[in-house]
Amino acid sequence: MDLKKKSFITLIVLMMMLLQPMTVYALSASDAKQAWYDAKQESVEAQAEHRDAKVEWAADKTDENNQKVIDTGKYALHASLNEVEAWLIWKDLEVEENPEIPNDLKENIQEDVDVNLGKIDALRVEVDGVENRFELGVVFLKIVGNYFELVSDVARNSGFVWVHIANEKADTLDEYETTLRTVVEGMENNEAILEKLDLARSDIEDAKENINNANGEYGQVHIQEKPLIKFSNGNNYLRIARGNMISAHGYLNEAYGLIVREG
Amino acid sequence: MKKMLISILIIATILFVSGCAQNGDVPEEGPNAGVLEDPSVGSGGMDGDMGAEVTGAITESEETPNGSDNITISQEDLDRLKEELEGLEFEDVGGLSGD
Repeated sequence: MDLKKKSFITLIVLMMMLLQPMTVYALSASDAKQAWYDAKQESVEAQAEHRDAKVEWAADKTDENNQKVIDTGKYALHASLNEVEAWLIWKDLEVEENPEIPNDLKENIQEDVDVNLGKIDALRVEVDGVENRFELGVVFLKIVGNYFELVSDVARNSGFVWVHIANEKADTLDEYETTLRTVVEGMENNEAILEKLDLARSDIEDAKENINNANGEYGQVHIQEKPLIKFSNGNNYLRIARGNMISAHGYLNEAYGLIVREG
Repeated sequence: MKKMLISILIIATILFVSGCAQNGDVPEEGPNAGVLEDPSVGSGGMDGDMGAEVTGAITESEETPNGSDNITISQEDLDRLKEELEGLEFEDVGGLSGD
């Protein structure tokens, strides 16, 4: 091999070394989340296009319209797989970027993501192999069945991650409340401040109860038990808990202001 | 040939510099990184070291139960916690609509 050729190969290798970390660092969890939103939108649009194609075929059963149903159906299936793939990648990066997530949860999620991304690739091959309406229907049903399998494990563990984060916030509020109360109990004319702290305490207790309920719902996210509904129920409990915590924070903030003013 | 060698040298220098920059970031972020990003985790938001750097903090007197702790909360801590609480999002997963 002459020197010129060797130099060229070295140049290419160096270029690849330079570009590789740039591409890895380019995708953050927030980028991945945006990519998921985009994929979700594309999936909705692809499904609408497929529905339109079926309406056209029903009105005019030509070969051309039949082919359009098959093509838009394949496109819609790919779009839905893109959506799941983008969601899994987002979940993977979300846990990777958060140092506070327990290692066992992190490892479980990352393992499930890897396994499920592999399954998506296999499903793509099946979609590509569809040649007629019958095959399209069969693959569609298969993907619907696999969809829950693909998301349920990661959704369950992702829910547990959110529970962990919400619990940490609730614990912080709890500690702040206790600290402020200790300060206030040493003050004179402290009734108004204690009232604020009592209200904060009540909201913190409510938040903890809702977080606990969310944990119970996420624990039931299994393929056999309507996983997406259970996951959504868990999310709703956490949304209420977030409201409780923001309210508790408001009372703590007011109490803090009163302490500063009267201290 | 000469151009090729110069290109290799330039890319190798960029790689070297970017490698140094990445390694250099770590000690700077070091022990304070967690506190800055998420001070509310555990007792991080209320420990004595952090409180010492915050102005206008409420400090417990020496009459606290264990007497020696100097536990502080600042308005900054509360504001940061509020921001974190408002930033919490719990997204549902979409589903495939029927054919």
